[in-house]
Amino acid sequence: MKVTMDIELKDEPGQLILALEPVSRNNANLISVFHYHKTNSNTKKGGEKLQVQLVLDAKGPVIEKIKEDMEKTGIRILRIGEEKYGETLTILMIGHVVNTDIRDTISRIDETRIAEVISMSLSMPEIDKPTSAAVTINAIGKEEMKKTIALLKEITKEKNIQLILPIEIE
Amino acid sequence: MKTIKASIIGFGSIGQGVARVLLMKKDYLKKEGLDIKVIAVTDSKGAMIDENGLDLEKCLEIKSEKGTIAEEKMTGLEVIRQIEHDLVIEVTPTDVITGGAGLLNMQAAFETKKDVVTSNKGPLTLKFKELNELAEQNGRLFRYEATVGGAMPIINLTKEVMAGNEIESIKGIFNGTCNYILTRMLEEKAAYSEILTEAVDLGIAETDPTYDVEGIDTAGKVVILANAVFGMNKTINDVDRTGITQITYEALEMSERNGKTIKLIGEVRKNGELTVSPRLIPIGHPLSVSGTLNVASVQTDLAGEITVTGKGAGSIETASSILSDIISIYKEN
Repeated sequence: MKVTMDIELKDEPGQLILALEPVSRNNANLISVFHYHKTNSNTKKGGEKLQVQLVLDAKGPVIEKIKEDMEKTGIRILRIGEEKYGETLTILMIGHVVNTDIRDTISRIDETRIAEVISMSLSMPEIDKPTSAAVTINAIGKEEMKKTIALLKEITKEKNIQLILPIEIE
Repeated sequence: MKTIKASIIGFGSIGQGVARVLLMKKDYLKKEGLDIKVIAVTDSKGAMIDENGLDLEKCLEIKSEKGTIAEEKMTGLEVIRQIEHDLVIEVTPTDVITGGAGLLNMQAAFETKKDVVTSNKGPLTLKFKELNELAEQNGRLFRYEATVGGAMPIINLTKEVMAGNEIESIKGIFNGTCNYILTRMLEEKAAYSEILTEAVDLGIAETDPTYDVEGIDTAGKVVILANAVFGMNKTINDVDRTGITQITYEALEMSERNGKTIKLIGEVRKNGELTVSPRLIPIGHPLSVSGTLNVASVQTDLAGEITVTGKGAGSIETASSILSDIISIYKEN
């Protein structure tokens, strides 16, 4: 099963390697490592701590063992949960992406609660020239991704933005 | 030996390509038991006619020297109606708005009991069903492989070679000009307008490139595939179409960083949806061909996915599709 593990590390060199060592020792499949920059009430304030999210593919008892091993090295486990999102897709948008209220575009996807924008990179060559944006979206499953794409088509049509979808999307 | 009396209606780049291919393949055709005797060639200024068969080499020479083969003031339509022959090779310039002279030529050919082989998309995007019905009513054959993808064999592949398979969808790159522009924008890190100028200078794009870059040409081909392969009755107005004019170099670069490229894709689905739009294609995917190449990917129930690629334009390449249509008509009859 796919699980996410939110952990807290000291913001010092070598800490991430220390955290990943129990993962490899217990033969779990590490899918991704994500550095959080959000403030979180579970994280101690002060700046000397760093929150990291690991996504692992391993069986329940293996996850338990990894958790134990990490705690032995002083790593704080903040949360372990099943992965919410099963589908990821990157799309492109070309046009006045920023001027047409980029926050609104993102919120309308996030508010569906079946999908969320997890990253966006922008390229704005000159003022008045169209902006190009690569947007990565997570969705719970294939059907939810389809619904999100339909919503995205609506939003981009309304805002006169060109949407470029991957070939596998119908 | 079967003798087929043919006319070449239109003697521009494709018409001359047909003449060259017929000369190049004369011995091969003889071995196949076919003697294609061209009895008339026409261009916009007139016609050259010899009911005993024209010397095609001489026709090409005259066209190159004088710019026209016109010896007689006869139009293509008059040649079709007034001179007895078996096959009309209709290669006049395409017109997707009215069907142009090509539509009238094809209708006249069937009405006067002649078979038609063509590379002219216009009439097929407007009157596909009517033309096929007219051919059938008059007991004549109508072949148009060269209208989609030049040398790339897609219509005959799906209708004949893959017979028995149910086709779920066909998607591909059907316009070499757009593919060239998108490929070069990324290679040269240049804006759309700069590469468009280069393409016009090289003769890859027309001085007025609207037809290609707005996806109209691709839409026409999508309509022909929908009608010919799926038996639909669509026109160009049924296509949801977006061209490549808004594509930025930055978008191409971003997609490359994600392991993808942007291509103008035409698509027909079994459910009747026809689209032309820029899409993200993984680099290395069968549809990610570069330069002026065309490619088509056919999704089938039995054979899975079949992909064909080939040169989408060029006089000899297009004439090769015309030749294979001619052979297929007369070998089986």
